Amino acid sequence: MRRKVIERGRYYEDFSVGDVYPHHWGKTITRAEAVLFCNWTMNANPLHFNQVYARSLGHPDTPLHPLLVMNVVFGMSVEDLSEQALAHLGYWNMRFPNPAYPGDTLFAESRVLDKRESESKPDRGIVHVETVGRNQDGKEVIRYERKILVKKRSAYPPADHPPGAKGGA
Amino acid sequence: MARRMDLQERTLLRRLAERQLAGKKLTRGDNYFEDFQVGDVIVHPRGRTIGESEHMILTNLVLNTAQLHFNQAMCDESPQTTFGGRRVVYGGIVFAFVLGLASGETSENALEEISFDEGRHKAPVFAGDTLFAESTVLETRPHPHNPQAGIVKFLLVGKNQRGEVVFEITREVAIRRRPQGGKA
Repeated sequence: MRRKVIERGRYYEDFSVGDVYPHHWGKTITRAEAVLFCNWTMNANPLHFNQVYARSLGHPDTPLHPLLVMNVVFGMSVEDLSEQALAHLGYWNMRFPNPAYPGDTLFAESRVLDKRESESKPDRGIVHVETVGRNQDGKEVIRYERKILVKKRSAYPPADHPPGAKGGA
Repeated sequence: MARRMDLQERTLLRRLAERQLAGKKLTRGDNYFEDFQVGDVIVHPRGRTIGESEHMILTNLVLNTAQLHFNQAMCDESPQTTFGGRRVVYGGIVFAFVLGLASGETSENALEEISFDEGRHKAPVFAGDTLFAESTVLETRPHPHNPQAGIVKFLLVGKNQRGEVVFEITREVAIRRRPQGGKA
């Protein structure tokens, strides 16, 4: 019988400048999620939850809240980029070249722009990436850069259990 | 898959929607493009406490698989790599709430969020913290294509209940100009 302890996420050593990661899954954003997200986070612009209002401004439907687009694209990128991160440092140059609508399916991909070791702490490094989100027709709906503080494999050897499951899950 | 519409269909829907909204006043009249002046600091009126389970639900709803947001046992085991053993709220959720808190005064009449830049999570947010928002008007300019809108650049700042800055980002928004002819 084989026991395989699975771990997900890249460590600092696993990133190479220029690498491109097509991210997993893709996600269709339903109308329910679109309205849930924008109202849950207190967005006050009826453009995102009033279809008549959105059409009066020339949209075929209520455009998705831009931060729902960002969060889903970001979420799909985590296993490749930041599942082993110590912190997410920030966002740069975030743009939304085309609107996305309920029913659209989002896909994500990232490229490593740069990496460097931490100057103060030997157990970590900073990885600089650019992430792009596209819809089912290949149209770009978001693009942004991100910097991530990532653990080094050399400082964090593999464990024999999932994080937190000391009893041996 | 979202239904694609041709231009003619979209124009007809637009005219119909305009008729359906005739006489209705859905948004405030004090947050059009003309209402923003460079240097204005807007202190937004509401705070929002982040609940214990809601931030984990939102984190998983958007497919974020980073366990430091939803595995407390891992945080207990490794306090040195997880904000002192506390489960930190995923930053994208902090960003969304801070933007939401600011939206009533800055983007209720927006046509589009154009860009965000220089975004920084400056301090961690945990369940039970209450977020507040402030916006500073950095720049205003005409919209390059739409004469009925202008672009406002804001510095958006999120603070916690102790007044500490937890998040900041610059933001460019296309905002409608005040409609002429009493259609405000």
